Amino acid sequence: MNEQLFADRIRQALESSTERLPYRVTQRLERSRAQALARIPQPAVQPGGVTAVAGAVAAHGGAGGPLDDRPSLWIRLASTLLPLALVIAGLYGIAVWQESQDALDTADIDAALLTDDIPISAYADRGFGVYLKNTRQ
Amino acid sequence: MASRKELSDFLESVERRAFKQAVYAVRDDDSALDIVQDAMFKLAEKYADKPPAELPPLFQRILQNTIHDHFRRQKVRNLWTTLFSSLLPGDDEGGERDPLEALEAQDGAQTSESAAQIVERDQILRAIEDEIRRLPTRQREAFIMRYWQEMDVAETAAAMGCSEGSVKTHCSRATHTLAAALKAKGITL
Repeated sequence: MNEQLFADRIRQALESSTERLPYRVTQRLERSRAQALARIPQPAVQPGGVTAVAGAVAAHGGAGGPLDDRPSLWIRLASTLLPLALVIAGLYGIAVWQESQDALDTADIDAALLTDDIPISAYADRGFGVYLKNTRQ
Repeated sequence: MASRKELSDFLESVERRAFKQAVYAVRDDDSALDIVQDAMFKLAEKYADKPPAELPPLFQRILQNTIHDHFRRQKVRNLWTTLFSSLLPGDDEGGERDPLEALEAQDGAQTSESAAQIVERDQILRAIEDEIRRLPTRQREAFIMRYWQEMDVAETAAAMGCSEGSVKTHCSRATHTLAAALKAKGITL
């Protein structure tokens, strides 16, 4: 069998395989085709019959043109930096709050010690420590 | 310049073959569908103003580039997947597959065939597709464009970015490899 004849037979077999594609695949291909056709750039025509170059200029100029569906540079920059700034601000806030909590806890302990009936020096005494330990048991 | 209708007709005429072509290359239906969609988008966005006669080689070139881009992206993705694979749960594809998806609608012509004929034809087709998948990439591309997409040698060479002589060599080697592989399986066309 020559090369062309063999290739024809293969082609027929492959062609038959495309006719029996799953419904899911044919539907997706149809959708893709419709979406692709919707993306054909439309040349803007001015009333005077002169083709406007606004679309082309906007496309080359980048930011926000009718043919450019990408967000502008500032928006992209902001979308990157804003979450970063929020995370840093959040971490700073947590650190400040933690510090104030520590100060409050220390103040509470100090207040409790100062307003207690037992003088502070008693806690430094070893015998008092043993007494406390024994009475707790 | 191709009109909207001409572009639509062109895409309709090539989309199924393009899908199969992508499947042979990437071996995954969903990735192949994404590749065909990307190729369609690029053609419509950038080359809709070209004459209809120029669309087939252009689309082929875009499709080949999109397939190559897919492999490049996959390479990078695989690197990260390998790094984090131990943290991810196992991918159990078998559990998600619906057996009903494997069933295909039978039209009137097919029901008139005997079950044995249908099975035999499916087996031959599967063997052909398996062997086409196994071909080296350049040989497969050349063979499909030349004999399935029915592009001439010059168009195929332009789409593949190589010389006409290379296209002929790739096609000849592909044909001989396919013929030998199918013969070894006892399949005669």
